[in-house]
Amino acid sequence: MIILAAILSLLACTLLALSQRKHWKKVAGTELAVHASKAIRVCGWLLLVAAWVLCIIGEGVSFAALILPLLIATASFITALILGFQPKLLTPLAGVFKR
Amino acid sequence: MGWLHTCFGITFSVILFAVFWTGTLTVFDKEIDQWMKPELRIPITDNVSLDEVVLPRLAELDLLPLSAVWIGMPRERVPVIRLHYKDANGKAHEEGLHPRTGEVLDLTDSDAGSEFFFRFHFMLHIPGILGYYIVGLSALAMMTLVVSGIFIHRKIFQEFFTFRPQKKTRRAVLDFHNLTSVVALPFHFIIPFSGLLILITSYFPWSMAVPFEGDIKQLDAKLAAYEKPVIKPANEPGDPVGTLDRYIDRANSIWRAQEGEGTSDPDWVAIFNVNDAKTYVVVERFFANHRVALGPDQVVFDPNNGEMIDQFKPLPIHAASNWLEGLHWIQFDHWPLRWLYFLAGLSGCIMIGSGLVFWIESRIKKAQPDATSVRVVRAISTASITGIILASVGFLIANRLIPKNINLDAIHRHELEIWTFFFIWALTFVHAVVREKSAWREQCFAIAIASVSAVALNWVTTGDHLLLTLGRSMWSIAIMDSVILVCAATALWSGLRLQRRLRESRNVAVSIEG
Amino acid sequence: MSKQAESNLSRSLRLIMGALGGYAFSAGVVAVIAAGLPHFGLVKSESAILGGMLGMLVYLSIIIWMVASTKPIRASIVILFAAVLMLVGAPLMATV
Repeated sequence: MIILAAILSLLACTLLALSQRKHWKKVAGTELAVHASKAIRVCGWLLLVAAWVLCIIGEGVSFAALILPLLIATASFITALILGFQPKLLTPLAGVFKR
Repeated sequence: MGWLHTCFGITFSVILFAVFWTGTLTVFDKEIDQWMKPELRIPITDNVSLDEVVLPRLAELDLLPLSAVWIGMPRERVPVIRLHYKDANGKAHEEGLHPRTGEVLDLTDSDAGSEFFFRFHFMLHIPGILGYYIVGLSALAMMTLVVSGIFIHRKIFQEFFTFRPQKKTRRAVLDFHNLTSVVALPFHFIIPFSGLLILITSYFPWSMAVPFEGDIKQLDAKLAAYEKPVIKPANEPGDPVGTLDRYIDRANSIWRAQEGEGTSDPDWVAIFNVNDAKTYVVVERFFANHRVALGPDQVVFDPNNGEMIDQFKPLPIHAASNWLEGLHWIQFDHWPLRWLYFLAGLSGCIMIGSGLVFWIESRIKKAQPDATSVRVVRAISTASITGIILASVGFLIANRLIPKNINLDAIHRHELEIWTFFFIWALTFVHAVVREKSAWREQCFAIAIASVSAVALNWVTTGDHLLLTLGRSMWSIAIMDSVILVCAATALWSGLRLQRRLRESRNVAVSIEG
Repeated sequence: MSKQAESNLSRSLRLIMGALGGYAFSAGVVAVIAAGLPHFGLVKSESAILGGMLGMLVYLSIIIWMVASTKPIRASIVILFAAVLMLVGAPLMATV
């Protein structure tokens, strides 16, 4: 459960990053349309909520309250490192939303 | 707000880095203990019987009448039974018992993680309570730094994922500072706050004692309930306690009935009024293994018939405070969370370190002060970051090199290890003064070499190498060795990167001059 | 007095007031909560812990307020006045 929550929060963080224009440009090479940005952001938040629910089911409220913020912290840090060093790794993910 | 951030940053970052670094190490305190005291490397035993293991040992001992005996239950991370007692002369003893055989373990005399790093984390190895106040003040400063940082940064969400390592060093360092601060922001705020709560009665001693006629001890007694004797001794000799296992079972079934399955196990059992007719047992959960909040939850058993006579549970506000303190103590069994804490702790170290480096470099660029003060300030930052890391690795190496049975009149073995730590730390400062900017790189390489040697020494002195420990599921030692090796790799990588940057900047300088 | 010196003086005063006045004020808040809430039926040890928990947050807020305030002198007077009032009042509340 916690592994699934970790994967979801990493995915959520990369999506939230991609919904920002400058990161999207770096990854996909194109300009990001406003409606696409909104769609990606909503997906990101939904995934975060899903991770939150999974955490609570698997670990109980008390532990989930500690795990989730730290998972998000780690996931955002990893996202920032990917964007900083190897942004092309995220190109396939951006491709999903390109259409 | 900007000047507050700068002012507190300069004043406190050296202490904060040391506190954060030792705190991060303390996340794995019990693992460090097992690494530094190889006698603790015992497989975990289920269904330990205190009646078979501890009671015979207690029968052998000449205990101080009416004193208390405390027995620490073996846990996943502490596989031995800990026995605290006072002998007939009133001298306090602490022993580790093998959970299966009851043999008294001849432990290496080392302060290791749960003594040295742990105590340094909140008292900086300063005798008395001065350290509490320095660390407390730094924790408060950290909270103000976090709040003022939010005010300064403003573009928290726009730049949430921003890190540009290709930019100039100063910009990249600032990005790194912002990144590590922002992503773990709740952690960076709640950790100093919960830390302050643990010692809160030291920080508001007068105010919190006001409802107790100014006597803070009354408050402490209320919160720890049955950690002091509550049943008056009969003052006539009596038989020793006949069973501990049955009391533990009974306490467990009481808790299970109240909290359901999966409830935490007791971690301490105490026998009060030793050698008296009214000797009685308290079963306690302080660091519970399956929940965040601290105890104490206690069950007191009647000396006459062995029935439960009282149960202590923290009241709601006390319980809330215990939850916050528990999240700081992290003594529960939860490996994924423990690793997340470790990573967040490292991010705190990076945040503090990069903040300090950023400030120094921009100050030097702007003010161009005289060479001596640049040297000293740079050396302080180098010694407080790479220096303390090198000293910590040196502490581990010293532990493996100093013979176990060394016998010196003036100094204990564990003190020798600690002196090595401080000696190396001081040395890194001198080195940084002499070598200036190159000190960063050289200390990184030194950390890499020292870390690899620490792992090698563990192999040579105990025979446990990484493949063996992984194969036998000795996770504590496997974790320690692999973390030390990752530390070596990171140090090597940073050192090489620094070297490349230095060479590049030199080339630029040469081409400009040419 | 130069502008730089003036701002340094103002900053030092803000810090000193934040640190010392802030402590006095938050110690007062802790004492008032600890001594006052038992009158509303809360157990004494609970009120003391609640006071302690809130005390650190109050201290933090006072420091931030002293630094950010546009009228630091008025803020100092308010803080000191309130601190004295609470520090004197709390023991009285405990004995009533």
